[in-house]
Amino acid sequence: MKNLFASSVLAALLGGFGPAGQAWAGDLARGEVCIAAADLACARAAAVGLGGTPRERGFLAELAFHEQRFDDALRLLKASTGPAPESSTQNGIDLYKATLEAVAGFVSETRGDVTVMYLPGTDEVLLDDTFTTLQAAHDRIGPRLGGAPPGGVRVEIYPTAARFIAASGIPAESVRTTGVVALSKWSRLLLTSPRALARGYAWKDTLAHEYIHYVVAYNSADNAPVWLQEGIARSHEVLWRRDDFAELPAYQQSLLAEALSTGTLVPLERMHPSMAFLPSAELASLAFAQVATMVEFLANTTGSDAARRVLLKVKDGTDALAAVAEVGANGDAGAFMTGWTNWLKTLRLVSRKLAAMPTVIGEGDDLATDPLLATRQDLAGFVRLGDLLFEAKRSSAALVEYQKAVPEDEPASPALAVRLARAHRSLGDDARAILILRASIIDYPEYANSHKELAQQLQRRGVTGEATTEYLSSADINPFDPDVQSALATLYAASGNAPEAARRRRYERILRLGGSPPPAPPAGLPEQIP
Amino acid sequence: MSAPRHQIQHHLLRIARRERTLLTLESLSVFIGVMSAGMLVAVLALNLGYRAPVGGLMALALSAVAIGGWRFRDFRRAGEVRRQALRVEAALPLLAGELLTVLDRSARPLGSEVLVERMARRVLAPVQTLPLRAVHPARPAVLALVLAACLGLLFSLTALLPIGPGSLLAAYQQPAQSPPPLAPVVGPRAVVGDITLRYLYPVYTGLAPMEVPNSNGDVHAPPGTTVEVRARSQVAWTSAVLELEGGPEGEPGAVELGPDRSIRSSLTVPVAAAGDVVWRFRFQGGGGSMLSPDYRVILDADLAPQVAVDARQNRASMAVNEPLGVPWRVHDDYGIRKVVIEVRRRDKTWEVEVRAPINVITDLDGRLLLTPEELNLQPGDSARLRVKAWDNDDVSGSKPGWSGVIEVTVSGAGGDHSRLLPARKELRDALVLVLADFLLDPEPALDVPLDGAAWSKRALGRYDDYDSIVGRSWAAGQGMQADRTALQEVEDRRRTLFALVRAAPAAGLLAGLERDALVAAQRAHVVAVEGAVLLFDQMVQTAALKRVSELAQQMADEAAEMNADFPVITEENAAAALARLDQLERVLRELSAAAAQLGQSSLGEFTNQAADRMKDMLAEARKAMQEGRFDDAKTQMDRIAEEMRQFADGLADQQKRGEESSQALGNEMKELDQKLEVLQADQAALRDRTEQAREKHGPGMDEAVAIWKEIEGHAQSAVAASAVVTAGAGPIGGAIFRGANDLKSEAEGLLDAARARNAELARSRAETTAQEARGYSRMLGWAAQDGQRSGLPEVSRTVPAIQAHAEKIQTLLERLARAQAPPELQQALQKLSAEQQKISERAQELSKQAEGVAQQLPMKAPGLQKGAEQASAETARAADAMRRGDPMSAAGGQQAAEDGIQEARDALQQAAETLQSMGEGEGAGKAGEEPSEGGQHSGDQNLGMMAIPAPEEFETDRAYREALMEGMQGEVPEQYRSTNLRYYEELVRQ
Repeated sequence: MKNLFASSVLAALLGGFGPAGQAWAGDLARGEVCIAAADLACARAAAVGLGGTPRERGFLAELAFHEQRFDDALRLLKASTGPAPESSTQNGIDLYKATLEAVAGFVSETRGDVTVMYLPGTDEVLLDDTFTTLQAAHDRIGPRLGGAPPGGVRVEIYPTAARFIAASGIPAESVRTTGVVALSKWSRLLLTSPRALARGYAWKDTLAHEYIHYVVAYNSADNAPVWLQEGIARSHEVLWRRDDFAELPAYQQSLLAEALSTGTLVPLERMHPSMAFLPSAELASLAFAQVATMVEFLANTTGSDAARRVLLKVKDGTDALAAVAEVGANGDAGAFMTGWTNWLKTLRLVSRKLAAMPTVIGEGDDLATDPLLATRQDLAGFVRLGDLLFEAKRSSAALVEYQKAVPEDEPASPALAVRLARAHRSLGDDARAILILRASIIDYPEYANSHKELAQQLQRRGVTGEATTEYLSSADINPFDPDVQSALATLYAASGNAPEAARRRRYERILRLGGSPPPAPPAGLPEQIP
Repeated sequence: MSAPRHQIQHHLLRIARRERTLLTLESLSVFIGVMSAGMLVAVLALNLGYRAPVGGLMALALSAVAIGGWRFRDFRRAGEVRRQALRVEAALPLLAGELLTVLDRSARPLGSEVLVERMARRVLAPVQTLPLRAVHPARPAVLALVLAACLGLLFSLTALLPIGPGSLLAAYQQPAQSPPPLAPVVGPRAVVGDITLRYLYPVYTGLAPMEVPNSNGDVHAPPGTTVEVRARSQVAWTSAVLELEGGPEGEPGAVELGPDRSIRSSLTVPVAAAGDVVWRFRFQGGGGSMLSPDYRVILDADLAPQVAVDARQNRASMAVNEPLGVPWRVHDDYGIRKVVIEVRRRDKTWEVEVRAPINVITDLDGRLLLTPEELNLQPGDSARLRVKAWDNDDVSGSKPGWSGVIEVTVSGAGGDHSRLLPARKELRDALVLVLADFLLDPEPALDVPLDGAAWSKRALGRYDDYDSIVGRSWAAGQGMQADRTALQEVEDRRRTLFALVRAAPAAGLLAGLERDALVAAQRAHVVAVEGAVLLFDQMVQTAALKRVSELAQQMADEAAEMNADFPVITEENAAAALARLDQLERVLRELSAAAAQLGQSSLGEFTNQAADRMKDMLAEARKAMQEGRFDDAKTQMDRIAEEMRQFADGLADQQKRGEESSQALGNEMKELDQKLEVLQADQAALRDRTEQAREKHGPGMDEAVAIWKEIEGHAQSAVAASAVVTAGAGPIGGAIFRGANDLKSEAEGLLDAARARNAELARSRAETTAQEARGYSRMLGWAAQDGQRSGLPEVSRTVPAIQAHAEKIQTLLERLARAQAPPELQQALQKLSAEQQKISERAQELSKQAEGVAQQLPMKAPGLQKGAEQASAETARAADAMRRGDPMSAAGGQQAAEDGIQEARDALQQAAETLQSMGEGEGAGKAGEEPSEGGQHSGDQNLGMMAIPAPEEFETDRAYREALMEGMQGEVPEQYRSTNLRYYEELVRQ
């Protein structure tokens, strides 16, 4: 495995050199700058010999907090202050305590320069993919953005929303309303396990997304505005697994198409200082789509290292829009924007009306987490009636009720599509069921159940290749479904891919037993000594 | 048995006989003594003029019997040999228990027989020599006998009194003696004529004074009425008085004699009289006196109020916070003072006021919206409730009247869900199957000749299971308001659909309005079934989720405790740890059973998956322990604890979110209700101002008012006549029946328009009613020519009357159009129209808000949207009428708008209560304030289960009609009058 940050670490060990400049042992001011720039190797070098004064102990506490040494962090911070700490210090103590509680029971595993903290148990099925994703992100995305920060990367996987909220320091209400599930902060990546969400989420892309924020903060000395950070992260987050930029989600395409046709794009100025200030979630989603396509346009027209060049300028203090204009249109912001909108018009954007997939943290009924049915109680009622009829083995009648739940002006919601497909399948109309599912997956690709249902139907018809792909898509969003892992194990075994089959079988066992099974006794020895 | 022991036994039996003899003597003496004493007192009381209560005598007799009975117990026990042995032992302490030992050993041989025999011989002599009187002295019996004899002697002496013992019983059996009748007055009478009576009724009756000229002199009036008498005598008298005979004693009334032989006097109708009451004049003059003829005073007694409750069951089980929802009616001849609910729980009775009208009012009705909680009842209580009304009789005193009794059993807040849950689930599942069939075969095929009977028979069968469940589990007032409302809605829609299908022609295609009506009825039927399914499902799901969540929490706590108790697993504690795992598994099994109620919903799937996983994990831990892998077992137990905690937290989180969502909905409902309340008040205030303007500027509008009253009268007559037509056409069925129904609908629409003072709509309705009547008359003519119809003459006679009423209304509306409001009034109305317009805009806004709220409600609350839409439309109509200067239409629109708002608020209130009782609306609370008791809540949706049979329960229409007729026949108790009335209404509907 390629060592991600070997050069930086080596430099630090040898003489304390880092990208933020040279660091000298015992240089507190330098160390603080290094931490702010996400350069932990530099900070670590500067920390040598510090600790004599309260401020130094505060710095050491912060460094420990960034390095996931939470016990040390709390101890040092407490030691840096008297019995009546200042409010900022008290806030720090509170945060460290909350983090310690949130990671209670966690274990740590390091592969190369990536350290993952997680709670032993079912989250173990995320480990392999976490390392793989970050490795791929480093290999494929890092260079396009100017390289990864030295000092390694630390990830924490929180098994529940409550633990994530406690560790993030964000108010619970904000997390629930904004749907934040991951964070790049304090030189760490904080990720909510997909099992904490009702129907999972595209957690690997999200992990890559947060990694990009980490890299961008480092390469821009944390000067990049939110819109630029989001533009780069949104457009680049899929590049760990593919060579080209991905299409926008259908929902965002429909927003963009409408805004283009009506001339209601969100001006960049309105995205300052934060997209959170936009008046509606729909407008924020449109803004994200705009900046993502803007960065994509920039890369398509000026080369794959466009983002790196922009970040360099931003790091030097250039305004973000000016930097984009300089890289993309010789400094002519107007020309850049015109070029971008013209390019957008060449794209075949989805124009049908679609509902946004809500991010619902915690367990929930699939109707409550459906993009449409969650807000349309009238339609949800018909779906429930259909479910009751289906349970009573009255599929034809169930279809009548399900059809009533299809809105007049938009496609069936994903939860409904799965039900329609099941009802058709039970009536022997597999072809129609598959058609419905495929159409729904185009509109709502992040709905794991659609992939699973389609995979099951394909597998039943013997289309094993596509079935495997669909099962994988389902597992990528919700890896905690033992049936999906079992099906994958079977399909891989049938195709002769024994290692992958074994891995999936292991995942299934982890999921069924709540954690890794105990290691088998060495071969040749009796299991128990008589 | 040996001889000594036999002799002992024999002697003891002799002692027993003596005791029995003495006891008999003593008991008889006591009985005779007590009876003699009682009768002695009774005879003395009678002779002194007191009517001693028969009950007292009876009590004495019973006492005597009781004493005798008590002694009988001793009599029975006296036969026991061992008892007598104990007495002997007590009298001969030297025996030191030997006698008892001999007896016991004789009964159950034990030990040495020789020793027992020796002991028997030893005790025989002292026992035999002991005198019997030493064991049972005769003194108490003799004393009792002497006392009884003395009392008996005293009693026999009463024969010397005027009312002797012989007539004692006869005296009690006779009713109270009336005072001897008045001796009839004989002799010639003075001639009196031209009698005029002027009645001045007591104030409480609210009756205006009434004058009766040329009276025969007899007075008919309620007590307390003052009657002024004017008359003329044949001859002149010098003086006279008015005598009142049979009433309370008093001075004769003064009489004023005029020079023209006129007579003036007055009398007051007495409150109570022992017999006939008469009045007459006693004249003086010419050295003598003479009486006038006697005139009767006939009391129109003010009876107690008649009170009826409209409960279809006299027994109900309800939640402590659930409104009773029982409609009530009170009628009194002269006025009602107050209406209360009388609550009787065990031996305590109390009252809670319902209404206390300020004005004199003879009829009151309303709906009991008080909850058991507000009646001071607690969960677990059983109480008997009656509506009690007091009249306003100030003269003879207020009198109460009562309704029938409703027995109420109170369960906890939100109802006893655990009790109702299986019944609701069963009902939901049965209705799902009904729904399935009606979704796929909703009505008879409309494009082929209709065979309604065949379809109807087939479709009726779909309800078999449902009917069976309703009959078994829901017939006795089960469930809560929401349950009953949903079931009632299904019943109503089902009945309408089947009635239409059966009324359809046996051959030929359905077309036009008939087809539309059938399609609309089947849609409404499906919507009702869907609504009921969703409601029951939500209740089942809510309860199941709550239970699953509780069990998950319990499981998580137990798992955490287990982990704390077993930090390390060793050989020694493995068995104990295994027992704890078993305990966890038991809870898990219970959880799985509860989760089964969630069905295949995604939450159910999630719970089942989690339960399966935890089951596997428990099995793995157990396996590790059995194999001696204690570290692995401990690891697995840690995982189990963590898994269970996460599962419990996840469910708790979801429940919390559900509660938050309900809280938000509850707040929205509350806010909407408050806005509606303000709008209602504003509209009422503006209506008052409109009325004031009309009174001030529009005296000429009296004509318009009178015309509208007349129109409304004609419309009411048309509706009544159409009911007769419908009832007559019912047995004939087919097109005749459908035509009658259409005619009735038109007439009812006409009445609605008249009540709303909507001239435009009334004109249109009158026209269509007249047309419909003409067409129907023609149809009846053809049917008569066929000669196949019987019973049509009555119908044929009535239809022209409907037509006449409709045409008369048309004429009146033309007159009304000419009755223009005065210019001043028009100006005043136009000024007010701006305010009405603002109210209209607010109503429109609230209508949209109501639609949004209704969509979020599981029960949809159709009245909410309908009422809000009516308010929106009627406020706009009122504003338009005011701009045009039409006061009557404006007032009608304003009133209809207020009614619409009230309907919306009622629906909102009911929905809030349902949400609350379902447990999902903890924060929903009650929308707005409590509506006043007895308010005009006209809906009949919460009357409990049907007491009237459904038509589909009968083979033919005729059979159904006969059943209804039977139900209507004969006198019914007051409390069942409302049911009787509904029989009639149902008959009319057929």
